[in-house]
Amino acid sequence: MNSPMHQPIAPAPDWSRVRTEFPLLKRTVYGRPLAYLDNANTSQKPDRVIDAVSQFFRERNANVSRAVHALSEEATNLYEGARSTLAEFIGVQSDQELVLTSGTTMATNLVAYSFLLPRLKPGDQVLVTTMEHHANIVPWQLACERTGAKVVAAPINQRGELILERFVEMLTPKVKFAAVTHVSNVLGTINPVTEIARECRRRSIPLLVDGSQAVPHMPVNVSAIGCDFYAFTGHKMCGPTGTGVLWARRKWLEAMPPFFGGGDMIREVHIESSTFADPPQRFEAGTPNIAGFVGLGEAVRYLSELGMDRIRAREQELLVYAQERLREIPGLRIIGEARHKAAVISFLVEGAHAHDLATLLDLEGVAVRSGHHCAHPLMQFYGVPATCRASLAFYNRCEDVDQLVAALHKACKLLV
Amino acid sequence: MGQSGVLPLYREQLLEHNRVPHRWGDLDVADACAHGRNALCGDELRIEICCNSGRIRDYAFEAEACVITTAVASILGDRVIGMDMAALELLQKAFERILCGSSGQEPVLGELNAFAELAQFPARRKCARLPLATLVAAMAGQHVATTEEG
Ligand SMILES: Cc1ncc(COP(=O)(O)O)c(C=O)c1O
Repeated sequence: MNSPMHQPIAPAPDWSRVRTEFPLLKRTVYGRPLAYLDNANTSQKPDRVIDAVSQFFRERNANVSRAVHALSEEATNLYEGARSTLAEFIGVQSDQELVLTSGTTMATNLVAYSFLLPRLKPGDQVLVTTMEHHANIVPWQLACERTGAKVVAAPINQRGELILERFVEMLTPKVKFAAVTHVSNVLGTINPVTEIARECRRRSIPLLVDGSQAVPHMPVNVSAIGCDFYAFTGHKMCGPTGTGVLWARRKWLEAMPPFFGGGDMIREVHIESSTFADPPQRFEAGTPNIAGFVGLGEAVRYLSELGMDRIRAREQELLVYAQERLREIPGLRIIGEARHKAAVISFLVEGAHAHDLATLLDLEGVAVRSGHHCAHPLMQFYGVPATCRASLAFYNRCEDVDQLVAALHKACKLLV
Repeated sequence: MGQSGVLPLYREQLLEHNRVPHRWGDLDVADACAHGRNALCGDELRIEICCNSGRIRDYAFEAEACVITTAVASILGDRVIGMDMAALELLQKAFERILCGSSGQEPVLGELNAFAELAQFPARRKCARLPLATLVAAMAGQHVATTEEG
């Protein structure tokens, strides 16, 4: 699979033209142009993805793998085609190692119940980091609660970087599983997942990497990382909501019992018992989000044509510009200053509560997120109740950042 | 941000309560105390009260919270002196009506009527509800309150 997907296949895109392919970005909010800076929450969708979904319903809609008629065949090919496209996109040899899920959260829960739960004993540990999203903490806690094991977290430094030596020290024989985010949704920190995977492999500790914030923003080659599980979600990468992926090494998938039972995941059913399909179908009970994956497949082709390395470079430019401009605001503090960082900027302004800022920014057409960003332990580490977060995507422009800065100046005049 | 036009919610009157809250601090002697906390948005406050035959005689609060929560808590303190639980519950019901837009003004609310604009900001209503919920909890002998579901 010598894929051109991670290489630029065209000269640098004209980013202002790219922006016009996102219809929602043309709308206004409270009579002002929309500056959409909540991309870490969910991304906007280009025409191509919207059209692919709508065309599926208009021309191809049928269920997958159940009927012999032509439409069902076409729907199955499209759905399975999306699986192959996704596998190639993340550098995985066999698309049969990809379980299609409803998102990262379903992927981590599947691993927690099907893989982890049967392996945990009292006194065992699951190692995470302080910067994890709740989707990469709570499922492990639920499995631990049932077994007498416990979740422990490796610390980060004030810049928001994982202290790798501490993480490695904490990989004791008690640790039966580790789960680390590739990129933090609050701090933007890019974790050294290849090194982390090497240390885990050395100790035969299975590692899950949460790629929710990585796959949309940089080239990712899961085989090169060397982890055991990799999860990500479609709606943050220009795809529809309700789509996601769990990649797992085949040996683990084969060892995992089913989690959801129902149609499409069985080989034979008798009233007393059933035999189950091979992975990945074993984990895809019921009718899947067919149209969603048709859309996600199109999103992946779209991102690949733009080039993930070009997307990364573009977002780095925007990040540098945004951080520089934000420092103009008196009393503004950026939370998360890792040396390797994606285009996510959490900030606080002395004397202003994050919610007030977000409401005042919204009234100026600037969409940011405020709150704890599903990362309570991280907020506790920094001793703050909440932050504002501006998160950028390649279709943002410097004017969006300017609009944010102007709105912040106004808001601070009121609040501070 | 045309001062009162676009932003009645952040009008000077409320910003002033946020800057210089009334009855800020704690009481020398308190009969009851409750913590209000909306963990999801990071609003926190502590209300202390002193009562006399079931009526609020004194009130003090401290908050690490947004303008809405802080201003409600500040205005509330002046409003509830002399009230008993039944009066508080009536106040809470009237406040709910203006927050949900089913009523524009309620005489019993006094300065709290300023929050009628929140009918247009459903995501921020829980911020306004927190102080009153905390006060009711304190009156009922409970120690914690939240206005976030689930
Ligand atoms: C780092 C990280 N992990 C997991 C998730 C959960 O994704 P989803 O809600 O799509 O399952 C998110 C998104 O909010 C995230 O940012």
